[in-house]
Amino acid sequence: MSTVQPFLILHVEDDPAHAVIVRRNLAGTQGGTRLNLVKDGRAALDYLFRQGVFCDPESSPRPDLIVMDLRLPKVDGLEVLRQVKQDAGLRPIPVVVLTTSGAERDIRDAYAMGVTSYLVKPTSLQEFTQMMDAFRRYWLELNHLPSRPSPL
Amino acid sequence: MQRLEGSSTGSVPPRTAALVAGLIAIAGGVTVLVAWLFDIPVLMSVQPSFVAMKANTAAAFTLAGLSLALRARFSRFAPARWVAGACAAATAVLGLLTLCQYLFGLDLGIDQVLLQEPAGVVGTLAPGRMASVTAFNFLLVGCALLLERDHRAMLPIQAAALLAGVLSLLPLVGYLYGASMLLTFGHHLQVSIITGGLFVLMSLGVLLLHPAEGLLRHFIRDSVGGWLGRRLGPFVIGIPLAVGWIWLRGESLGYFDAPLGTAFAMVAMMILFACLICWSASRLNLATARQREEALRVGERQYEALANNTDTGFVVLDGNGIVVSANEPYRRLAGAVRIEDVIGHSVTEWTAPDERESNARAVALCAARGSIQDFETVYQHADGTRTHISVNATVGTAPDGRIHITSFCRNITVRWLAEEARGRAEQLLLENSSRFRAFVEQAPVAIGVFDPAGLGLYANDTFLRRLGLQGLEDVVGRPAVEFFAPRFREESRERTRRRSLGLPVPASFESVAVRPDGSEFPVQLSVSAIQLANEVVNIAFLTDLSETRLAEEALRESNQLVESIVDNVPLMIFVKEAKDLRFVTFNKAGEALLGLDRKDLLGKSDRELFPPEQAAFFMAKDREVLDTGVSLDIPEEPLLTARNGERLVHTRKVCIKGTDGRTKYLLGISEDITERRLEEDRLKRMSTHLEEKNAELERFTYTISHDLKSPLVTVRTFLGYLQRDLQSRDADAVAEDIDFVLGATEKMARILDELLQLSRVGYRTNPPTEVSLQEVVTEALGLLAGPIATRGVAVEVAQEPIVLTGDRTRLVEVFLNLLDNAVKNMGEQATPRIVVGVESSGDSLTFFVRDNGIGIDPRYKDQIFNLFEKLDPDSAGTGVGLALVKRIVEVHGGRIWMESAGPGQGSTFRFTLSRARRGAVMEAAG
Repeated sequence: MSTVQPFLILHVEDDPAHAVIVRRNLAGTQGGTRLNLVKDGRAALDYLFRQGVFCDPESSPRPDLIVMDLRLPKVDGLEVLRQVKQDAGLRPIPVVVLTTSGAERDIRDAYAMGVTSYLVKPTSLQEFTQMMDAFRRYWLELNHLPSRPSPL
Repeated sequence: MQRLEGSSTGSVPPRTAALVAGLIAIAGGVTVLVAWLFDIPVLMSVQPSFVAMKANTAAAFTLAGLSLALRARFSRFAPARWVAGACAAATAVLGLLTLCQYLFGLDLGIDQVLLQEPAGVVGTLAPGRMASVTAFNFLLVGCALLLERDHRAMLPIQAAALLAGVLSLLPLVGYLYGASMLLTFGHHLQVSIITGGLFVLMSLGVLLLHPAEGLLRHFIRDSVGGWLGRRLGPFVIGIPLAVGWIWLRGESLGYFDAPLGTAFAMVAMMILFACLICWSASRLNLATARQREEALRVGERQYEALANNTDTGFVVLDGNGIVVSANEPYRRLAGAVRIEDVIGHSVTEWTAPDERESNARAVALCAARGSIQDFETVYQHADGTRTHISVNATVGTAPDGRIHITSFCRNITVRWLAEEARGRAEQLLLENSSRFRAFVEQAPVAIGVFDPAGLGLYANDTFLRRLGLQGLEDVVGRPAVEFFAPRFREESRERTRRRSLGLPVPASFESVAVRPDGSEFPVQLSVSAIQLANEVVNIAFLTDLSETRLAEEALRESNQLVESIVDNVPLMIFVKEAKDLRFVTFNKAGEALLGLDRKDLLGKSDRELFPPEQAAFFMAKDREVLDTGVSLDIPEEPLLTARNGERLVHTRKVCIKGTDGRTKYLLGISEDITERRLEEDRLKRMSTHLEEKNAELERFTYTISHDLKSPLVTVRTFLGYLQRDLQSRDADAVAEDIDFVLGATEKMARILDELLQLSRVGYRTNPPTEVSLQEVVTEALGLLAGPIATRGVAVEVAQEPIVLTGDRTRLVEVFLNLLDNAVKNMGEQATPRIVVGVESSGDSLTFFVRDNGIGIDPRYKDQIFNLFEKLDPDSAGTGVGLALVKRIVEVHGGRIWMESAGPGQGSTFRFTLSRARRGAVMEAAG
């Protein structure tokens, strides 16, 4: 049993095709990267606050990074971001917005809410792949995060 | 006229004398009758040798005397007059009958009626008959007494009475000189001595009844002639009688013979008459002299009155300057209280000390030259006031050689003061030429300088111009009083007097000035005393109030201008009295706004014009402004008007203070902002609407950019994968890639299709038609027949006849989308069921589509109507359906909302449509 925990990303994405693209680009990285996918804002909050179907800490471990679309069913991405950043326990978790919208308003609002990074989905595979490579290299190799408290 | 001495009218009144005569006649007659009765001869004839009076005669005398006495004193009483007339007539008749007896030798028996007389009595023709002359006399006297009151016959009456007297006088004189002579005349004159005396008395009595008329008036008159008549009458009678008696006595005693006696008598008469005339003449001369004196005295009094009532003093001095005579005006000039303080005194006493020497020289000069003209001197009164006198004197010489100086003195003080003031003014101007002139001459204020006595000294150009004067000479030396209108001069004099006495005088006062041409104008004068060139002068500043009046006029004009502006400004302007908040001014705009006439507004308060709560509000604001003095802006206040209904006004209230600083009025300016406010509301609504549209549009474009880009990303990325997978010939991967691309393009196509539908709702509306609810619902159910049947949903539709009005196609879309939404969200429901119904709430109808599906978290009840909003990422919808429904409902004037108890509880969509009603659709003809 490896003592090294895999890098856990909570991926919030309502479009299954986009979820597949992200998975394909992040899968198979060294050191192990794990993607937990939820399809709307409500589910993301439930996961993070361990509510409803996500009440079991085993099945919904605390993520190292949140990658989230902005336009989400039920609860909007910005609302999820606001609640995460208001919670002292969740606040340290970096949140990266990955969305189709490059609208200035969205970028401004997201940063106002305390987003860590804002990425716009490219419209070609090559660009998407390059962006996700950079993403992986940055978050998994360059960036340092506080160490996770080990679960009992 | 002075009365002459010895006037008889002064002693006994004539009528009283006549009364006495009558009474004596009665007494005589009665006495003789008594004597006859008791036979007492002495009473009948005085002496036995004399003829006795007959009884008839006595009776006649009694009657005549009674008549005379009554006439004299009692003629006022009618019975007395009748008795008097009857007695007179009886007397006359008795005389006439007796005469007839003599003339016709008859005996009527009347002689012995009273008493029997023995025949052969002395001097009697028939026994008891009176003498013929006596009878005649009675006839005369009786007639005279009878006709006594006839003034036209006064002369004959008096002549008759006189004749009777004269006829009786002859026997009387005869008795006096010795009865023997009567024999010569026969029996006709044989009358008793008493009869004669009584006739003389009667005659006089009748004459005295009317002394002012006939013969006697010449004696009665208060004239020289009357006096002479009265004076000489007794002597003319008495002297010849006395002379004749002495002559007869002397002859009878044998002192002289007849011729000598006659000579003596004549000479005596001459001497006596001469003496009489001489005496009378001297008395007359004396009386005339007295008359002249009297006339002179009257003349003197007139002269005195004249002399004292002139303004010119008149004085006569002797050679030493002592006043011999002076008139009243001179006394006043001399300042003396009584004329005695002047007469007998020396003129030096009231000549001013500094003038005495020149006065004395003038008197000497006058004495030497005989006269002196226009000599001027000064009299000084005890109180020190100086009076300037001009003297014209003439010297006269009395018979005794003494001289007297007659002087006429005029008071020239006013003239002198004027001249003197002129002199002083010149001096003043000379001394102060630079300072004074610079200050005053060109001053725009009218300045006049007057001496304490009120005489003009100087005036500047402005003063001259204002008063219409030519030059300084019109002011200098002229009394200030003359510059005032006549009716204000007394006031002016009083001010001058008070000023000179140091009494308080108002420093500033209003009066009316007059110009030389007689025009008057109101002035305000401020007078102050200042020291100028060693003397105190009064400086008067004159303000022409007519200019002030002009200014007032201008003010009035500007007021009118302001008023017309106020009246025509399109804002309601009103002014309220501060004390009771009643309207005192209201402009036209105010009238128009309130729909009331000014006359119905002025004097009223808010309480009388507006509803209580509005009036209370207005007045509370008024009080606030008046109390704080700070103007108040009331952005909006409702105002109920008589004609224009409820209006909204923007009012500004301002406190207006009077000149005394106390709040006097409240000014209000109100603008009717009702229209503006409506317009604003409309704009606001429009703006909100536009904002909503804008937000929707923004959301729309944002959504498009996101939701259309999303499948694009999918398509392009998976095309990249497809390319790679085709190269690696991974068939499974290729199939997956193609599925993603197809799914994304389908999604894109659906989105574009629904967007097209949505956009049509806004601008492509079919003409509204009436359609029944069931028809619309049935059509929608028909389109959904497949899914409904597949899922096994039971649909229940209300059967009430309801008519919907609008775009039929869109209305079908509403139900189609709601039913579709209900079918899609049935979840795991074992007995899916949909109810389409209608509810009444008040006047309006509310439609609903209820299902028993998965339900919706109430948190998302508004969100679901947003464009591209999908609660369930896995559901087939695009998120356009409910947005489309909302749009259609709103276009049809309704609104839509969703109710749900929560997940798993089913959901109900309710909406209204503005033109929906209960009832059946009218079938179109044909």
